[in-house]
Amino acid sequence: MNGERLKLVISGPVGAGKTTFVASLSDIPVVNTDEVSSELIGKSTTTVALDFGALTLDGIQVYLFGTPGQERFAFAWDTLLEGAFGLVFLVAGNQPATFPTARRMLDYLTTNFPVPFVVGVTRKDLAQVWSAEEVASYFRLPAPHVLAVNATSREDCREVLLQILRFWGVAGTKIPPEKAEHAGTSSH
Amino acid sequence: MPVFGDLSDFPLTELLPVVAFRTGALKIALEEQGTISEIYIQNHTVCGIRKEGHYLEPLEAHQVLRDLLRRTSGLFWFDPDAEPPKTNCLSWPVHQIILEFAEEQDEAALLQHHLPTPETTFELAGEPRSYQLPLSQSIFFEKARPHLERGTTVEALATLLGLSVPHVALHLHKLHLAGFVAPRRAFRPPTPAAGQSNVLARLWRALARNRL
Repeated sequence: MNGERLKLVISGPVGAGKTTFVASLSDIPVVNTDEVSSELIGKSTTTVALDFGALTLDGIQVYLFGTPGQERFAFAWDTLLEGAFGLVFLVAGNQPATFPTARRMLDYLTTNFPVPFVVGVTRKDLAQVWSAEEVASYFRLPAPHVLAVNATSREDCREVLLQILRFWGVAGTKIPPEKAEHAGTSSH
Repeated sequence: MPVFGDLSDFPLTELLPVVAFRTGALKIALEEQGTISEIYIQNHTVCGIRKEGHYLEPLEAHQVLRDLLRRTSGLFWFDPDAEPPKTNCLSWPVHQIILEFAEEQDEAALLQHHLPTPETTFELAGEPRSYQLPLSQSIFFEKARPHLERGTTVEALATLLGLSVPHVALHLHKLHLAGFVAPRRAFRPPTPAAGQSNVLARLWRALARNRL
């Protein structure tokens, strides 16, 4: 962290919704490095370096860095996580085949970088999807670390950000009464 | 010399049950190592593993035994005159060793994509478990426990215990599933510097009152 600028990293396997998440939160057009995928990954393009967006609130700039999803780009995850105030780790709830690799990467990242994290389970609108509770059980994480997320919903992305701030212990700071009940929501 | 041959014809998984009812030492010569390993057997149990004139302590003995179980060549013979150690007998049931080894081979293949990375740090889980671990897990856990109390990566633990990284990763994965260990998260909330805390608190307030 540096002054009034904060860095949030959005990571996770291919197809989890990282680029969408960055776009949903960002106030600016997302800068991305999508290239045509050379593998069958369920979509035509994939992020090869990073996605970048920014959100400004009360004069604080939150830089949003989306990482590439393939494990072979894991070296970039390390670099991006340096100095981050939070890690959003997205997994697609309808793609359980990606969970083993995701858990490996999450355990690696969170045991090596002192950063609070939330696992966001995307595609919650689909019928066949793992619930946040089920994902928490597989990842062996306490429930507050896992939230169901619609990555296209700015409101859901905001909830994830709030949850990360709760881990910093700043959630008790005074909130205007008319909005307090909304800010306290942490699950879906 | 009642039993002799080559591991290329009789892998140890087949050989051990053959001699399990005897008392003595199954001796195996590994040409490339130039050493003889001795498996002391008594009453269907492995009592000790001896190499270069010394009985090995349990973790090392288990590792040597696993290595021998994987071997596909090496001369062996049974020495009925070799006396098992009178004290500190390992008391490892032969059938249990063979079954666990077979299971480990299957598990290693099955779980290879589920195992933690070498850099992942583990520590003892908060609440100690009371149930009995299988033999190989128990031996590993006993030896690893002091390091896990402090927290250690998979690869560091492998170095400390003289084991392979995949082997340690498999043990830690299973101990994790059983609730004995857990990844040690690096984040320790919340001791941010005052300035950072202030910025984060402002961000919290801005987000809390703003639906974006």
